[in-house]
Amino acid sequence: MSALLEVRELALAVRTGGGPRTILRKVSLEIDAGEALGLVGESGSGKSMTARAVTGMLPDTAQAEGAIVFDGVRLDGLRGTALAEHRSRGVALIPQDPRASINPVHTVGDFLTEPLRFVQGLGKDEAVSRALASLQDVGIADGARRLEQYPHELSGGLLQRVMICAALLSQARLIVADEPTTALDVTTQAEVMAILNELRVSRQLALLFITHDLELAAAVCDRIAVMYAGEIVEVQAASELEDHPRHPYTRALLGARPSIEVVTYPLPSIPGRAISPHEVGEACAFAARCSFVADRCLEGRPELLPHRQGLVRCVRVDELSASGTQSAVPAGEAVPGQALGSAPGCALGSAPGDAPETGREAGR
Amino acid sequence: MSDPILEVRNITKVFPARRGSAESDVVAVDDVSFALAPGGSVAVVGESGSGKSTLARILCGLETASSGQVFFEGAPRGHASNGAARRRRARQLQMVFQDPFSSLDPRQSGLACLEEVLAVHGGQRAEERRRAAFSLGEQVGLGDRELRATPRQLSGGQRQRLAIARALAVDPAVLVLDEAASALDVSVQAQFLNLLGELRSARGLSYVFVTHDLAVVRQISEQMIVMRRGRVVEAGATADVLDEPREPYTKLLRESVPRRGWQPQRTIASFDAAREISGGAEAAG
Repeated sequence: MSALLEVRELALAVRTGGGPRTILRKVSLEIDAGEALGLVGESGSGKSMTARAVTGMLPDTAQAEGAIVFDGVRLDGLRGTALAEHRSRGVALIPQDPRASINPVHTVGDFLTEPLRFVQGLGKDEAVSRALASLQDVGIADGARRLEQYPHELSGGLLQRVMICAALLSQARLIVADEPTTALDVTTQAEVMAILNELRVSRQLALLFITHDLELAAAVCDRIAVMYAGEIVEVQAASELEDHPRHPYTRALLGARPSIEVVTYPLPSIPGRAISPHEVGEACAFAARCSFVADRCLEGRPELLPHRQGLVRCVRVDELSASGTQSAVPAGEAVPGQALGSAPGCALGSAPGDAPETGREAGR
Repeated sequence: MSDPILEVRNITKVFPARRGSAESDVVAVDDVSFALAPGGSVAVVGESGSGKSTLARILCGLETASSGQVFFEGAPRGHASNGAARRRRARQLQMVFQDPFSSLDPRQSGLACLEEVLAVHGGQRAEERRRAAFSLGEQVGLGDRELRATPRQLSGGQRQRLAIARALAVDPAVLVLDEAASALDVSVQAQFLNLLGELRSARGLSYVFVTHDLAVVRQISEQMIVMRRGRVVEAGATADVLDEPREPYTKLLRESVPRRGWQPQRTIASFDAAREISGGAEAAG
């Protein structure tokens, strides 16, 4: 069976005043029907541009090479009505900032029912009842009232659920979610992700989930691809990636995230800064920051090659896996109960049984 | 414990509704108190609308409290009536915001920015100011080249280092950091948190760290208060609050943080519903 979405060696550059600037280098990935793939990386790694390419929303200044095939049809040649068809029935986008993607002078009802009426050809009553049912699915009980409201009357979490609604109503088989919960509070994030995940699984929709949060991606995705400087450096099953990250960048990224359980001082950070895709020379893009760098790493650009069950772009991956090295950077010392830089004895109310010098508690 | 360097007593902030509007007044901060020991770090944790940023702005004098008071070394932080009093106030406490872009002059180099602050507060000669500016840059990890760049030419992490250097230029006792690490990428955030740790032990700084990120709280503050809808719902030593939260809301916050083996749950709506029911029962009883 061939994949629902196949991105083949997608290279992307944008025209700038100083000539073309590389954004993506030979990005290849596949998503099967009903599968969830996480695309994880830091700012500037190219994850959002990959998402835009898949939805056919590249800026006019972009020059793309390679192929994007959705359900057997190449997207890169699509124009006009064929592209509109792809966006309405093939791929649905859930954006990071719903307020920037919804028309502020139209009601939520118009936003949800217009595609049903003018793309799917439903009558008005039918479209409204579908929209109401869909709002119910995403946990919005008073749907009739919401349909009459304007976007500014809804909170961020509520509006993001409306976006999920729109994606589900479109009959799309692939949902592209670009940092859909980054702007939301953590409790709202948990709720929105739970809703998206439940509905996606029950309807067997595929998901391309763009995020900077590896733990969040691991919770809702089958596989995860990690991007650095415009290329994919590792692809693994989600659980395997969390337990046994293979690429030094993935390891370092997992290590740098502070834990909610223990104090680690200093936190293992990645030295230097993330380089932009156009700054990558003829060496491994991560070499300058990698604690395992060797001469070989500087002799050419490594390929993304099969390693165990996944793919890794690192010439030293076999040795590193064999030696069982788990952390890319020397781990900081875990100091239970003591925060960064605090000298013993200066902590507030640290004496046992000392009542915290803090205000009243709730419910009093 | 030693006398607090900063103490907040019963701070309340009410934003009155517009006249003639049907909306009611907004109580953004509702009777909040806490104390910060010299060299200590207290985290103020909450979600949007919890009042944590309003509280931070009141601490710095950017907003006036409707009632309650802020004390610095036991004396109320009142209004500064003249330049000398203002400079004294500035040395008590400085603030660092989430988005350095909106708090730095886009056309001014870091060097010029630091020298300006030093000129206002120190009044040394030009070459001393320049030396002091480079020394501040060095303390936050910004070299000659970065200091001569404008904010737009710096990375997010570098801009936030510059914001710290500017705050340190007046040699304050307390730094109030409002989501200062929240917009940074994970690898840069780790460097930034380590810097805050170094500065704290090197200079004996105290922090009020406003954030929504519980994992960052664990690293940076040994005391924390949890706010919701303007009120403190739970307060205490960070280790106690995070390891054994007593309040249902703190538990919910803790359980919403993605981590290994975590699965997202539809919880907040049911939590709110349960709260309303129990609140109603209390009112009836």
